[in-house]
Amino acid sequence: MSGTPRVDGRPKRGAGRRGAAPAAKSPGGPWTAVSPPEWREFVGSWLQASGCSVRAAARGDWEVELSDDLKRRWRRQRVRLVFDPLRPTLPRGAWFTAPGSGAGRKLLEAAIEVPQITRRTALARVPGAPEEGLASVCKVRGLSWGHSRLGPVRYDRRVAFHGVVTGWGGLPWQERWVVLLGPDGEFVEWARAPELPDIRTREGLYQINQELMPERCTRWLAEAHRHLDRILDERQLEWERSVGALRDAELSRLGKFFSSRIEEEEERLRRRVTNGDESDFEQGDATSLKLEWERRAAEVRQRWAVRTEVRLWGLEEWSWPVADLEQELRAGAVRLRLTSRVDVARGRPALPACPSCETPAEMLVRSRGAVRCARCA
Amino acid sequence: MELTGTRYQVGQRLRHPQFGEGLVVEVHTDRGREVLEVVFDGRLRRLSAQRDWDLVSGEESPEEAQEQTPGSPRWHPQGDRLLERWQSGAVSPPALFDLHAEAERWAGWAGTDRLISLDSLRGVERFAHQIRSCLKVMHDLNGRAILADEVGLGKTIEAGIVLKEYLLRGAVRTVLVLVPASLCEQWRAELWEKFELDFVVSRGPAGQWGRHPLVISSLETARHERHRRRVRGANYDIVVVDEAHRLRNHLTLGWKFINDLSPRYLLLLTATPVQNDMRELYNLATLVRPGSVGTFTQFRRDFLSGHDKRSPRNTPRLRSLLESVMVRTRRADTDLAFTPRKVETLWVGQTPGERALYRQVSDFVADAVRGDTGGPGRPHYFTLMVLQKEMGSSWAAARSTLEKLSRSPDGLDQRRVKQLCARAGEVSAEPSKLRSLLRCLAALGGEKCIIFTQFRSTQDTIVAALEDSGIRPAVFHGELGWREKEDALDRFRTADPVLVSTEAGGEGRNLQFCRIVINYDLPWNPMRVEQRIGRVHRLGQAHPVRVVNLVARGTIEAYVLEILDRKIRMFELVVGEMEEILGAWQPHGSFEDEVFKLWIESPNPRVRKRRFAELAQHLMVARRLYQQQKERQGWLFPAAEKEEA
Repeated sequence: MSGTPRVDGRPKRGAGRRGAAPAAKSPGGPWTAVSPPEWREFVGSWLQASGCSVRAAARGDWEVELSDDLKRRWRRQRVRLVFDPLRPTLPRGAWFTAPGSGAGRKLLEAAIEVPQITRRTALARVPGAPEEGLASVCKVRGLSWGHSRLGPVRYDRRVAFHGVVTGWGGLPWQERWVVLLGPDGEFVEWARAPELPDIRTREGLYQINQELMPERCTRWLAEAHRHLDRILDERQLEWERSVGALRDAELSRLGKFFSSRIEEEEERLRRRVTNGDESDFEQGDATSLKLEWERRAAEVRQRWAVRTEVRLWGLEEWSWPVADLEQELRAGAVRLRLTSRVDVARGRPALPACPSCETPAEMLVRSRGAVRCARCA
Repeated sequence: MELTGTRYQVGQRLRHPQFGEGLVVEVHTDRGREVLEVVFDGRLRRLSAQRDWDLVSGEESPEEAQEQTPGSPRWHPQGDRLLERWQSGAVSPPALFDLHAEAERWAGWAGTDRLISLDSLRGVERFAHQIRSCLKVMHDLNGRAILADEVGLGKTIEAGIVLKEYLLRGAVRTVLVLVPASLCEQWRAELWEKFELDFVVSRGPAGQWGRHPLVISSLETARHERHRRRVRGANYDIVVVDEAHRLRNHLTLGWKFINDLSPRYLLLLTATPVQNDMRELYNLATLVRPGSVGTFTQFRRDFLSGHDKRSPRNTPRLRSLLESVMVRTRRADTDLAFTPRKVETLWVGQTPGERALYRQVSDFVADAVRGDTGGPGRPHYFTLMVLQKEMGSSWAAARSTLEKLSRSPDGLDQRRVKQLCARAGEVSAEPSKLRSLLRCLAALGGEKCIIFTQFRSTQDTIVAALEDSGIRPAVFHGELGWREKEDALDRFRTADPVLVSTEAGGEGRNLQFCRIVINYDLPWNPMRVEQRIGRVHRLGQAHPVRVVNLVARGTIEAYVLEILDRKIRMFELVVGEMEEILGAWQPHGSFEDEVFKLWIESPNPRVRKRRFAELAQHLMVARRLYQQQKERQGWLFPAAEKEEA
C-alpha cells in the first residue's frame, strides 16, 4: 500500500511543516488523475494520531476503525476510504477521500478544529555568530573593528503565532502567516509563509523552566493582534488598490452603458421613433433604466467588497538561543567597546546601538573625535 | 441628457441625510434650475444641484463602510479557543502541531492560480483546455462568462469545476442551475457523482427555492409567474444556464428573468451563441456583462454590416470585446484526436417463423396501443413499447414480457397474448441472431470485444450460447454489486475475450483497451448508441474502432439504423454533435417516441417506409442547420495556440 501511515503515528518530519508545498499541477498541462501520495500519507498519519486503526483493503483502499471521538463525531464505527479518483463506483458507505471531496473536507474539518500549542527549541548555529562579528551587519568609515567575543548562549522565550488570512472580493485568496514576538511581546519578524524561514529545531527538552502565567498569555495574544492588525493594514491597502481598480473599471463601463441607453431612450422619445421594429431598441423606459443602473452598480460593489478574516490556529513557544556579542571599535587612539545581541539560531547579530543616539546603526563613522551613526554625524 | 456646469456628474455617489447613499443617474436643467436624479435604495428622487451634497469617494462602498474598514479584520473565534488552551497549559507534542499545520495546508488554498477542486473530482477526465477555461472564467472574467466551447469539449465539466471551486473557496453559498426540463435529473446525477455537489431538483408548485442552497430547475419552471418572486428572493450567488441559446432573444421571458436575477456570478453554457442574427450574441453578452459591447445602437453601428444580420464587420475588435465575456475552445485548438470508426451492419437472416412472429407481435402491439385509450395513464403503453424493443433484441426477452402480459392482461386480448407467447417459446429455442453473433465472433479471431444489449434476458441467452460454444464471457449488468462489477471488468481486461454488458456498462466506464463494439440490439435512442461506442472510442484509444450492428431486415431497428447511419451519418459525428442535432429537432418530442409512433401508426410497410423517410428528412435538415451554425461561429475566435503535448 503506497503511502501507508507510519506505525508510530507521527508524520514524517518535513512532510508537511518543513516540507515543500504539494506539487501544484501546472494549470495548462495535462492533468493526471491520481491521488497525491502526500495526501494519503497525511490522512494515514492523522487517523493514527487520532487513535484510529488503519488497515489496507483491496484496490488501495483503507479500512479504518474509528477512534471513540470520531465515532461520536461521524456516527459510525468504521469507514472505508477510497483514494482512486478514477473509480467509477464506490463500495456502499465508502468515502471518496481527496482534499476537496466531501469526505476529505470532513476529515480536514476535524483535523483543524482544535487549535494547537507546542514548544520547540531553536537549534543554535555553530559558530553562533559570523567570524567578523558586528562587521557583518554594520559598516564603518574611518574606523576599524577589533576582535569579537561571543558570550554564553542563553534562551529567550519567543512566541510564533500561526494564522490563516482569507480575503474575499473577486476571487477569494488565502495566505498563511506567522508572526514572531519577543519575550515582552515586541515584534521580531513575520513571514507570509506557513513557518518561520531558516530555523532548525532541536530535539529534546524545552529550555525554559518558568511556566507562563495566564495574564501574560492574554497580553501576548493582544500584542499579536496589534501587530497582525498593522501588517494587515498594509496588505489590505495593497489588495484594495488592485481590487478597487477592477471594480472602478467595471462601474465606469456600467455607467457609460446605462447613461448611453438613457440618452438613447430619451432621444427616441423626443423623436417619437417607432420605426416599425421596436425590438431593435433596449427594453424599458428611462426611469427603469436608472433604477436598473443603481441595482447593477450595487451588485458590482458587493461583488468586489473587501472582507478579511484572520484565523489564529496555533502557536509555538520557542526557546530561542541568544548571546551577547562584544566587539572593539578602533579609531586611532580611541577604543570603544560595542555590544549587541546575537540571534544564535540564525547566527546573525543585531545592529549595534549608536553610542550617541542609541538607535540601531547600519553604519558608524568617526566625527568630531567621537563615534556616531551616519545620521548623527 | 443635458450636462450642466455643476460639480456633479452621473455615476457619482452622494450621501443624503435622510435617504442615505445614492447613485447620481442624471444631471440636467429643468426650467432653469439644475436638478440631480439620484437613486436611493431602489427609488428615484430628484434633488437640487444647488445644494452641497456630500460626495462619496469611489473607493469606499457602503458594505465596506459598515462591515469592515482597513485595520479591522474579522477575527475568527478559533483565536479565543487558542488563548483558552494556552492559558490552561494544553501543550501538544511538536509532531501533532506539525500534523495540524499539514492539515491547514490541505484545507486551505495557496493562490488563485491553482484549482483546488481538481483533486476532488471523481471519475472525470479533465483536459488542459478545460482547466484553462475555468481559470480564465474565474481570473479574467470574474465569474461572469459565456462558455461557448464546441460540442463534446466538456462545458458541463467546466461549469462543475467553477461551481465546486467557488463553493470550496467560500465565494458562493447558493447556486441555481437552469437546464432544459429533460436534463434536470441528468445534471443532478452528474453533479453528485462527479463533483459531490448535492443538488435538488426544484419542480412543482412548492419548489425548493430558498430552502436548499443548491437547486436545479428548468428555466420554464423558475421563470413561471408562480415561482419568479421566490427565485429572485432566494438571491442566488451563482446562476448557471445550460443550453443558453434559449436566451438569445431579449424579448423572451427567459432573457428578462435572468436579467432581473443579476446574480453575483453567471455562467451561460452554449455551443451556438449566434444562430441567425448578431443581435443574439449581443443579447447574451449584455446579459453577462452589460456594456461589454456597448448599447445595441453602438453595436449595430460598429459591428453590423448593412442588412446582413448574420455577418459582423470589424471582427478583430468585436472578438477582443467578446473575449471579456466569452470563453470558446474549438476542437481544432486542442490536441483531442480520435481514431477513426468503422461501422458495419450485420444483417441477420431471420427464419420465416421469426419473420411471421415479428409481424404478428408488431400487429398486436399496434392494435393494443391504438385500443389503449385509457387517458394519460395508458396502462400498457410502455410495456408494449418495451415488447417491441425486445423483439428487436431476442425472443427470450419478448417471451418473458408476453408471459407477464398473459398472466395479467388487464384489458388486452389474453388468448392472443398466450398464442404469441407459445410461438415465441418455440422460436426462441434457436434464434438466428445468435447464430449470426457466433459467426461474427469466430471471424474476430479471439480479439476482445464488448457485446451490448438492452435486456437482461437477452444477456442471459447470449452468455449461455457463448458458453455452449466454448467462449467464456465476462458479464456486466446493473444488478451486480460494486465488487462483482470491478471483478467482471478486471477479468475482461486481463483474461476473457468477450464482455457481455447491458446499458449499465455504457456509463462512466473506460474500456479503451478494447476496440470492438457489437450492438446485439440497437437502442432507438441515438444517445445510448453513442454512449456505448463512447466506452471504447475515447481519448486513449490507439486503434481504429469497429462497431458491428446486428439487425434484421424489416424490423423497426432496421429503419432506425437506416436513418442514423445512412441519412444523418451519425457514426461520423464527433461526441456531442448528435445531441445538438436532436436538440434542434426536439420540438417533435423524443426520438424514441417518434420512432415508435411512426411504427405503430403505419398501416403497411409502404406507408411506414415513407414516414420514416420523412423523419430522416427532418433530421437531415436539423443536421444541415447544425453544420451551418457551426460554420457561422467560425469567425468568433480564430484557432488558438495548440495545447502542449
